[in-house]
Amino acid sequence: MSPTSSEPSGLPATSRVAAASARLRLQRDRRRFDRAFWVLVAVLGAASAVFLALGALQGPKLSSAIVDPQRVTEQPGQQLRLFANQPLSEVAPEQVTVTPEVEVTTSVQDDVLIVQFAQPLRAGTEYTVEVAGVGALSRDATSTFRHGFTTAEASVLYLDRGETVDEVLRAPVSGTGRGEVVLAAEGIQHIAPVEGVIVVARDAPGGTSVLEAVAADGGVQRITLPEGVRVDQLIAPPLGGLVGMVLSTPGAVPGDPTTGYSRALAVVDLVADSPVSIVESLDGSPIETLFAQFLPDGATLIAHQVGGTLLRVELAPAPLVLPVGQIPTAFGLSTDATRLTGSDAFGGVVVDLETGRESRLDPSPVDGAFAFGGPALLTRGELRVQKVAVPDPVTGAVATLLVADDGSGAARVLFRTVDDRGSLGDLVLSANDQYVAVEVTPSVAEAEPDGRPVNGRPTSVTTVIVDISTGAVVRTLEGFAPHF
Amino acid sequence: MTQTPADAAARTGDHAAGGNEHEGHSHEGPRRARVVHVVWLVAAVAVLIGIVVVREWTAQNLDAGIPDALQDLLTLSTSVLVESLPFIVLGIALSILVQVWIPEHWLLRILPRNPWGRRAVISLFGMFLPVCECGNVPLARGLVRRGFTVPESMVFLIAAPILNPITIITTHQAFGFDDGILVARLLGGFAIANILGWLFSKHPEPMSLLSGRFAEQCRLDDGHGHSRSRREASLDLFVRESSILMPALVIGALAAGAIQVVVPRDVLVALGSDPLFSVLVMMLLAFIISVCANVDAFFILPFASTFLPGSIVAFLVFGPIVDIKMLALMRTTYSTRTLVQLTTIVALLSLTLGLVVNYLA
Repeated sequence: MSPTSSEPSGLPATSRVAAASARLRLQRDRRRFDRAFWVLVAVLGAASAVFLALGALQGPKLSSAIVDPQRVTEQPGQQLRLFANQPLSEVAPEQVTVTPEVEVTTSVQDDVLIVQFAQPLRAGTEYTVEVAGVGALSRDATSTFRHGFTTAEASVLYLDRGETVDEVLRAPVSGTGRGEVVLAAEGIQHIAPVEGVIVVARDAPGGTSVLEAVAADGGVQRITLPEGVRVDQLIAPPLGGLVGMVLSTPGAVPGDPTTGYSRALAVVDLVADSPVSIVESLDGSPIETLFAQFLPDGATLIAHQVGGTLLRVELAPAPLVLPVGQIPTAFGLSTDATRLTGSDAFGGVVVDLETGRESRLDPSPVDGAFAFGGPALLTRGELRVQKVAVPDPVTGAVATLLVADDGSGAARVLFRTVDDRGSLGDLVLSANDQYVAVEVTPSVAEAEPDGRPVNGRPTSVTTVIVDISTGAVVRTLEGFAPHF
Repeated sequence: MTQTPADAAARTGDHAAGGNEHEGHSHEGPRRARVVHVVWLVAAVAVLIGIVVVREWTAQNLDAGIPDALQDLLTLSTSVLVESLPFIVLGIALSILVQVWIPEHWLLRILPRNPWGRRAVISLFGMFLPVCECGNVPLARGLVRRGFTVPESMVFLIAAPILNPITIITTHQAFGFDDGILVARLLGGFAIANILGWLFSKHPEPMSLLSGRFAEQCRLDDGHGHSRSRREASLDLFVRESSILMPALVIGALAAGAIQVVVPRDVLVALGSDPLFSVLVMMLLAFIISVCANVDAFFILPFASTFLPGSIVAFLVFGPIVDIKMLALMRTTYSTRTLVQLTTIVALLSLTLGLVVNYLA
């Protein structure tokens, strides 16, 4: 039977046409799909090739950078970490240009280029770091990394005593006003900033002290002192939670332990929440201390013992006391804590703490006039900041000046009081050697004591902050005991 | 208008067409089919348990003389199985929920009529169904049976592992917004899913994109769904989907483990130190290790300092869509030709995306 004979009339031809048409439509649609697929493949392949070529011509790129704008002004060896988009080949320090100029070293860890600053940077300063010729591990193309950052503004913590309530304030080095009150309490003797808290010694009955740690939120933790002692000095660590102090029992006789402590060196660990412990010398007796200061590790003290012996006191894990030198008077450690300044009968002395070697510290003339050297603090370099006394050849009056002296034969005056009527007190250098803070009594003749039994000052005492490089007075604050 | 499995079945004029008349209209066929499914399921579970037990035994008997390569194979395969199995079960459960318990019009009503808008919305389904790619296979199968077109199921399958909250959170935790890796992954996943959806929507015979067996099941479903209770249908679906996916998972895990043994990972890493090849190497690594999208960001994080950001993006985009385990699972649903085309496009798009990120980042 033929196909046509079995179908109703007219349908076979129509259905054949419809089927053929559907088949053709399907074939056309299939071809369209195949065409769309291959066009898409071709477009994507071409796009890949283009970006592959562009990528091959491109050097490494700087993705991000990290630097701690605060710490970089406080500690040497701080790093600027430049994150690249791919592993990098080695970079030499000569490829790095820093503006303003500072000494750097470089290293590469995979995709991170580390620029390490040899010394702390200046505060409140805009730096630009440019690294030329940065290459990838497996490409010849190089590029230049450029990153700018501004260091944090320096600030100073100080104590301003009032009629009834004393205040501890923090003020930026540049600016006006008193700054921000961070703590207010009665009878503050000493302050020491330690890892987010401020340790405060305050007046207690009988000329003794109480010791407190005050947190940023105002919480106060009492630190137990030995019975009936006075805090003569609080020693703040550069890092960590150890706080040093010098303690005395009111009325104690030096050299007679039966009458109590006499300038005994003591320490407390705020992190471990341990009680104050007296540091003992090799013979088991307390160390009678004139002056003490922490080394940068925050766990070792340099102590100047009554009698002139310089001691290195390692506090952890157990106290270890080692003599490192002998000097009648000690002024303070250099900023890098490698040397100590002091004086003997012949004038100023510098003691190298590593070797124990001593060298003379002779003041340079000031404006051609002979100067008598006083307390001096050394920066990391050759420059030192020193109080000097310069006699007037005509009147014979003696002016007390603060000078910067690099040993080249001519000191530069940083500060002097109006008409030279005042006096200069304690000096403190900022960690980056940018500023010196000096306690100033504007007029000795008009000075009135504040009447405090411990750590007294004139009521008119001010703290003057001087930019060492320019000699400009950047801030004057009513108060004393500055801590950068 | 794109053809759905239901449309295709209707067009044949007989749901049991293609030699399945007996299965479609008697009770003997389904019963026999269920027995076959149970046998496959039991066999797959037995193999799975066997792998885990042998791996545990070898770990405790290191001096038993088992070759290191075999131990590595067992460990790597077990890790893929352990990582994927919960998601497979969850995916099957969600698939049953979608197919049996949620009314069809609920799902279809929320979708725009415009094909591009519809696919865009489907590619965001993963935000509400946070299952990794292994679990999305049964879910995608469920969507096809529920009236979605085959290209739409692909859009879901490809986008959902990347555009889901767990993947987004883990990727953000690993990389944050560094080098645009997270943004590129999300945009890349969305773009790849929609481009593929568009491409396959051009196909004149969508049913031919499916594997023969799955296409047949779709036709059978349309003829039987009304005659069973929901509990029976759920149980039936669970047994059937498990019996299909579990063997695929076991085979995929063994293959992924075997290839990792043959091609050591450190060789790939060494090859990838060249930035130009790193994108390709990372895609190859993603293909071989078959790690789930929910955790792959943490896996690749240690490589972030060695490889270019674009290669990391390529890894994070390519891996969830195409890897050994996924190919084994997807083969249960799509034809070989479809998978070749899908793999080609996904690979090219991932490569392009990686190179663009490398250029821009």
